[in-house]
Amino acid sequence: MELIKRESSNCAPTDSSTTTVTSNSGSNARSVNNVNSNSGNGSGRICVMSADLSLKIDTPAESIEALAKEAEALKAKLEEERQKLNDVALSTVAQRLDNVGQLNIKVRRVLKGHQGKVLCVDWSQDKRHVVSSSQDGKVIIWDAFTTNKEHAIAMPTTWVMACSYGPSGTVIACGGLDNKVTVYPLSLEDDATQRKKPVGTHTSYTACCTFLPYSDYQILSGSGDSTCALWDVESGSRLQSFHGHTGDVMSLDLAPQENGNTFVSAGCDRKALIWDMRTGQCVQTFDGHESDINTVKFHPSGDAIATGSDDATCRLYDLRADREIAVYSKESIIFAVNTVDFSHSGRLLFAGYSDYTVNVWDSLKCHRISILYGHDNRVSCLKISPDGTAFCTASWDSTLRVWA
Amino acid sequence: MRMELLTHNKPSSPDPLHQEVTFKRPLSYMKMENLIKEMQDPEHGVPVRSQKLFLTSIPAAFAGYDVIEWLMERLTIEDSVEAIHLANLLCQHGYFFPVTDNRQFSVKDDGSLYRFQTPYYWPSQYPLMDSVDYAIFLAKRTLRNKQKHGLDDYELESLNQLRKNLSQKWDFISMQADEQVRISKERKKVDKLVTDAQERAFWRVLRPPPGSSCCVETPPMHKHDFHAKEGVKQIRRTNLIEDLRAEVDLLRTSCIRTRIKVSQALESLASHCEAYDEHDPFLVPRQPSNPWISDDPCYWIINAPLIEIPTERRVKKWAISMEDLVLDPTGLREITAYLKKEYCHENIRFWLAVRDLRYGPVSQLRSKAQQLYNEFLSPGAPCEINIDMRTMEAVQKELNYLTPARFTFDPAAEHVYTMLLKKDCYPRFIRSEQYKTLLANALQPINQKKRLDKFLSYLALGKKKSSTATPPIYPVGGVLSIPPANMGLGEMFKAADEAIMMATGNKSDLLSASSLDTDKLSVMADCPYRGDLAPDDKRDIDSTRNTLSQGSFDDVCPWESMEKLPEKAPSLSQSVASSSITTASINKPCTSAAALAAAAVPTLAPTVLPPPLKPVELESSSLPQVFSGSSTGLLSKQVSITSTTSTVVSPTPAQKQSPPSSSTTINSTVDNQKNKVVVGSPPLPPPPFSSSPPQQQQQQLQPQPSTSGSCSMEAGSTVTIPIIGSASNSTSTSKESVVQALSPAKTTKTSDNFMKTSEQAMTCQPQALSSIQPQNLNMQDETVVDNVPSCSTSIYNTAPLPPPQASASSSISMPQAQNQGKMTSEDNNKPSGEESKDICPWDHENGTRPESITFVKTYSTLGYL
Repeated sequence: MELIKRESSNCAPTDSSTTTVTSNSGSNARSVNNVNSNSGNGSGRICVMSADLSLKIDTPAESIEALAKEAEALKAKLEEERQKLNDVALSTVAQRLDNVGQLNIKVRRVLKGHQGKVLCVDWSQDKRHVVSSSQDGKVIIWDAFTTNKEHAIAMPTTWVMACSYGPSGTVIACGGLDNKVTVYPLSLEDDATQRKKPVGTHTSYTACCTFLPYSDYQILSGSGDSTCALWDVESGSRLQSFHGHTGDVMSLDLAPQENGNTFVSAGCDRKALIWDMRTGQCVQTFDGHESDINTVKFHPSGDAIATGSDDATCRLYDLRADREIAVYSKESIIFAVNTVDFSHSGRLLFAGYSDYTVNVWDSLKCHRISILYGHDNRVSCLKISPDGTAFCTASWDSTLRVWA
Repeated sequence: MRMELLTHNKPSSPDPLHQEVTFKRPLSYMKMENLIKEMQDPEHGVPVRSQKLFLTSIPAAFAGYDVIEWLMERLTIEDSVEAIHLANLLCQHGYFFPVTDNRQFSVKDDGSLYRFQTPYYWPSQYPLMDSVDYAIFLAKRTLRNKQKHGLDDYELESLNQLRKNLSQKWDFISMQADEQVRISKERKKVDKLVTDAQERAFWRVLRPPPGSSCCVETPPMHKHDFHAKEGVKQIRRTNLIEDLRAEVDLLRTSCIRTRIKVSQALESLASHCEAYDEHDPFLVPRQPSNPWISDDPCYWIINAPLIEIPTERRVKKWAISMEDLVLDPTGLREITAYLKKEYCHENIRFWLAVRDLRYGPVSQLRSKAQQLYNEFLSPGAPCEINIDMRTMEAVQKELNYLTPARFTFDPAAEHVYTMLLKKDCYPRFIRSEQYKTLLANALQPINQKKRLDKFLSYLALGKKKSSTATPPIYPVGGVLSIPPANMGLGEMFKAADEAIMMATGNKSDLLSASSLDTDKLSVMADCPYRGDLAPDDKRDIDSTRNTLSQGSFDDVCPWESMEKLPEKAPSLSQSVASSSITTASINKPCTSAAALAAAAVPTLAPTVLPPPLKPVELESSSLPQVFSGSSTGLLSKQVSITSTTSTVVSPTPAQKQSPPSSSTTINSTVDNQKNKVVVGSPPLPPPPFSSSPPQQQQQQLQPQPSTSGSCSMEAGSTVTIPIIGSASNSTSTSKESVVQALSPAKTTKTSDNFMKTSEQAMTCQPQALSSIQPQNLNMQDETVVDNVPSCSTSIYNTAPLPPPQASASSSISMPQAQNQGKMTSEDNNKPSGEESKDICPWDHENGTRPESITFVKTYSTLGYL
């Protein structure tokens, strides 16, 4: 059922674009569809291509079918390989550890001022400033400690889904439905909007962006056009593109390691991909979620990633073991996970849900430690402060809260 | 199950509600609907029946507590709060609604009544409902009984709006409405009641009254799917075979990827968590307190990115991994300083330069790459790094055949990082005396909590007194050309909690703004341009004195240059303020106490200034005797003290002056407090000095508390000087201790404690502040090695530094100390410069100058503030 839908919608555009071959491509596409139905996940567009290619190009010996088949076989083999080394469950390893004591996490600050849903928040390295962006196109820079607003920038778009503080604290980047990544230097004197600097443009909305460490000169962004891109701020040129997702990229995170030239991205194709920033190649993939992945975050050790998805689960994947090692879910949790972040040790996993709550998970023992109530609408973004003393949540109830 | 694609349309519509949208039904709807279906199960579901409320019978309703109980049982929820929350969400999504109250969609855990919504009105249908339906619904209600079906204000408004917008369809709408009203009249009363309520509840969820949020709204970002028709995807489709090939390649490589056992991976995750347990503020409370909880930013002050005396926890963290060390600006500074002493800091400099290249702007790529190559890689480069031939060739090949890319030097940098830094330098650093010293001297905020409080309250007081001192701060910020992020400043000044707030505000802001860069720059500045320093070194004193401030800006780390600024106009209050601000903001000051002091400086420049002088008197009174035997060390110390107080460094011609001298001055404002510390650095034969002097000193020093206390009283400031004694001989670790106290009484206590804790360390009685380790200054050592400037004494004095061979901590300082000692005697006559005359340090050493003079000077200093 689902597959048929996908295929039909896949074929539709092709047919229109390659009108000359429509009649021929029918049978061709159908044959490929069979392959496709075997391959299942993520290969929906194969059929279209084969239709195009077989007619336009003399398809080399390495035909789509063969490749698709090989991919399937490899996937199975990969799963097998991964399973081989799966010798113990996380909860058993975690048994020797002490339980996390009672946490006394409360709302310590409420930042009010946005008129619309707050969609993204990011901390400054100074540990007390945050930048937040909202549905109504406003980007506000707060001193979260005093709850003062220090700058407000009106973006020429609604749904500003991404914002990021530059490592120097003197610049922010944001983007949203304008498909752009825009940098605003912050200054006391003049209006930040006057100094705005367009950096990159995607072909669909900008879902997430982040500055690279140590400098304000490079930004990594993920977009609804299913790519990620690395931009040079100064020249606005694209330094590297990252192709490989088959759905919108919703979230990305840089590896914490010192020499880590990798980052992870995840999105609506339910996959989390690890990328080599130098080559632009995907080096590792993880799947398992049953719906769109909304958020991904590196474990502070850099050896694992946590994802949160519309299927109401968070999952932990280990890079070295190359597989999923934990699922954080509960029957009573039925709403999507929009955002996750780790405490500094990696022991606590904070997850913001569409059910207005933040759940605190013991990442090792895989059980929920507590539920934090406070917001009146879905929690859209959660970030831990640079020194780990607090975390800030952004919500559709148009407020931000700092918890400690 | 994949979400179903319900409708199609253009993806760029920003408003999901008022346009037709492509709607992917969230998975949560499916889960909720399954749950609701179960609830409605006649046998195992929530009991639904006609409920009696007073005299009226309410059909098809259930009670709040029933649904909560059912949820708790069905989903094994332990806490009723969670169940109520979930029930509320179901209600807000319109799966059931309160029968009696149609204003609020919330579920109470009591006998209040609720009714299920018909599946036709479930949220999954929302996308199929549009404004026309809403208009029909509203129009219908206008046709009916006003009392029962009257429209609310907001509904009337939207009806009028809709009438305008849908004018061409309005005939159809009113016809539909008439028809529906007619049909409903034919229904049974009970049915009518229920359906009316359901319809009304539905629209209340979908079109909520203003103020309440619509929780079923979907963000526009989910509109895109695999199937999007956008141009990009089309373009990308032509690459599909390549994509597929890439996927296969990726799968192939992942199949042969080396994996570790899951048990291993889990074990390492667990041990990672354990190792960092202590450093997780959510697991182990912060000391003195978490700023967010206590509203006291003290924790941030003592943990500023660059700080003289890091907290113990922080120093300990450095030992966990190399990353922890180098990611911390202070840690980076320490290891750089250490490596410099070991003459192998080109490695870390190279690595930092590569990092800078990689993350820097592309426009500078070429020049930076060239610079980097010339500096580190070219044959005979000034700081040639040691890498194996293969890596070298790889790099050179890249350089030759390609334009330099961001990653050209990565192989070399990785080699340097993993092979040299991580496996060699880092472990050595962790084992080094320097690290041990750092650890021993590290701040333990727990003990100081009280004192810090006092100190802060003092600051608050001080601020009131010296309100005049504050204004300059702001401009100075500008002078220092701090990047514009400090928007906090202005507001912060106004903001309450004044002194403290401000101090932190400044500090954190400035730091945040500049710290990363500054830090990096500084390291950078200090690396590749080593050669540049040489000419400066050769300057003779007079010129140095002038150029101290202006000259050699480029050569030194930014903070240093910043510090120099004040010197330009030592007599101007502004400059003083600026100097103080620099101290405050730029990191020199550190350690809780020092940091606080520094923080205090901007606000109470006048009051804080006195402290520098106090040590002098103290020393003059008690120290001379103590150190009669090994006076050199002392002397040098005092030199530094004075230098700080006077801010004029008078270098001897014999020792060619070097620029760093100037930079030290500010430091010294902090440092001098520590100068009391006598680094037991006996000239050449250390052993004799080692054991007995410390005790002597202790004894001798103990009386000091009172003195200093009184002194401080006289000085009119409560800030007193921390005095730390640290004795070390060439073999033993020197311990420097940090103690703070505000009142003399406290002081004695602390000093007592102190002695217990630090074995051989001599604790001089400390006052409010603490010792500082001017590591960053050390960075300069190397550049200045040949000609140690007099002022550099302060460097050497303040902290016992590990000598090049990592032997005795203070051995390196000895020769200089000696020199200084000699010098000083000469200098006694020398420093004829401006104010420095009065406070000339050497005088004190000789005991010729009475304390009073110092005070006089203090006041004069205050005067022009």
